[in-house]
Amino acid sequence: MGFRSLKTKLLLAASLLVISSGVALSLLVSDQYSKSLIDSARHQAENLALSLAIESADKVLTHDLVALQKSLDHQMKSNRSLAYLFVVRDGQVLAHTFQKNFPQELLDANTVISEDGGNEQTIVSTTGERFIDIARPIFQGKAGLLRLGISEKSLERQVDELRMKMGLITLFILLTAIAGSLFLVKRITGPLGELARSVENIKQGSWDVKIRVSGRDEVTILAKSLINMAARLKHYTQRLENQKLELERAHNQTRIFCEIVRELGTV
Amino acid sequence: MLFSITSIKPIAIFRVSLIIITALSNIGCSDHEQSKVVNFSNTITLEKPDTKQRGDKQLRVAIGAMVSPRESISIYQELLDYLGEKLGKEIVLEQRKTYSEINELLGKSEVDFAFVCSGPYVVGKEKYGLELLAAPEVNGSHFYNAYLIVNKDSRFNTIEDLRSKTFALTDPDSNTGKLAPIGWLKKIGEKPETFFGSLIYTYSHDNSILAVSRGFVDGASVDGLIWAYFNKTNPDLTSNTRVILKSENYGTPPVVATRQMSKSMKEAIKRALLGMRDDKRGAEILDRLMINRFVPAKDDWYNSIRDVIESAGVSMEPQDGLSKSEN
Repeated sequence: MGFRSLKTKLLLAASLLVISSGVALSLLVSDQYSKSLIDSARHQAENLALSLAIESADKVLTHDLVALQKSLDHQMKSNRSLAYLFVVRDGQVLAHTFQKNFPQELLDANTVISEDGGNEQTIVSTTGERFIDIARPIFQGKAGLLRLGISEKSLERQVDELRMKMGLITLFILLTAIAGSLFLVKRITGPLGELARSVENIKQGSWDVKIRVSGRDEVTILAKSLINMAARLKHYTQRLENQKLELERAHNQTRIFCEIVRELGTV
Repeated sequence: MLFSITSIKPIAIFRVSLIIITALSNIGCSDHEQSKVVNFSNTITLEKPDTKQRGDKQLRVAIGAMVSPRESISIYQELLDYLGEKLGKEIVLEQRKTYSEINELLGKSEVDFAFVCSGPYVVGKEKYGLELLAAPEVNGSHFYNAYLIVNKDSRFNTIEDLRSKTFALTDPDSNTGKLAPIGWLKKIGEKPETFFGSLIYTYSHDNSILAVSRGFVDGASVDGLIWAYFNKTNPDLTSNTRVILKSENYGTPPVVATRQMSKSMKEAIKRALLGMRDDKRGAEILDRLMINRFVPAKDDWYNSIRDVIESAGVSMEPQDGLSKSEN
């Protein structure tokens, strides 16, 4: 039987549908989760940038760079998702949170469009790490620009964890579905197999169809029809056989009568 | 009727599965944002901030921390833009937290001229030879006063009521924010550090007003012009405060220049300031600042401040025992 059996095909179909749905659902959910995580991180970054910009204004305006640096360092320590912070004014970096030197290309990677609103830019490092970069004007830009970067690494880790969980859930569902499918397929294909065997027996000339019939589904109707059909076929066949016997008997009688008449003629 | 019965082929199941995966996974991948690639390894050593070369077309001006830095910009920006236009120079604004820092900038000629408080002028004149350019005339007078303010709902009516209470000073070099209360207490034989329970520095008059308004301190001495300005432009700040004492007259906070500034530039700044009332835009700016006009300032207008300094033996530096606040 192998791949050609209905049971195997149904099991294969059920498994593949569960796997494909699981994979697709996993992709969809993790994608949506990733998006909502990033959206949430963006909002947090925007709020933090706004708050820091307000806090930094007086420090920048009074050129209190030590207080400004301490404020940025404090934020870095208290918010682990922050990758970097720096303040630029008139093209000069006043304070930053990089360990040593400053990444040159980062300076021009993002800027603000209006003096009231911030701007968001996705930045990708050459090693593939992604950052949400927020540029926020300080005191309508009169005190420069605050730049804030949040690494997406921790967010990606959370998404990976979700994917792993989804994979395990899909596997569990798959095993449950296969067990359930086996049970159902057996219930569906069992009577069909019996019907197929009965039809084969009829074909071989055995009219006694022994099938236990219960229920109202299509398979039961088919089984009942087959039993009736077999019974009627048996009945018609028996009638034909009886009629054949009667015809043979009549034929014999006629033949004997003809032979008697022929012998009387010769006498 | 003809029925067609076709068996399910395994490849068809694979196809359906593939379609489901493709269709569902495509839902979440519709938008692609633009990203910028940055090489974080390509670093530079940053030059020390504020080491820019000064251009010939620049004129550096400082504003004393009479009001907080952001308020200063809101108040003075229009005036500075006007001056820049009249003088044909790019005005670069410098602000610092304390009056002494502004005086130091003037002393080192790191700024060319400044809007300073009257107390720091007296000190700066002595120490750095600062020169008067002009002073504002407000309500028809080139004098102003210190106001002793308390919370509106408090029972304090005289300075004696504030004994052992919390008091806010503005700046160690402030005239109305420090010298004036010293003068008041001198008259009753007291000193701030022993008379008040505790003292804090707020480093701007609006911060002192806020501290009294919110009940952080029991009293404060503030610049009467600034209190009046906020009473008109931002009454929420002053509405919870009450003036219980006004000081004698002091010369209004002047515009000063460094000794090193060229005479021609000093004259040009003077002309621009004194001529503001006769200029339509200048007059509008003065009206918004609640200033009648700028007038040529005289050094003897500030003698009353010198008297307080001399009679009280005041040191213009923060004294031991005075706590500081960074409001």
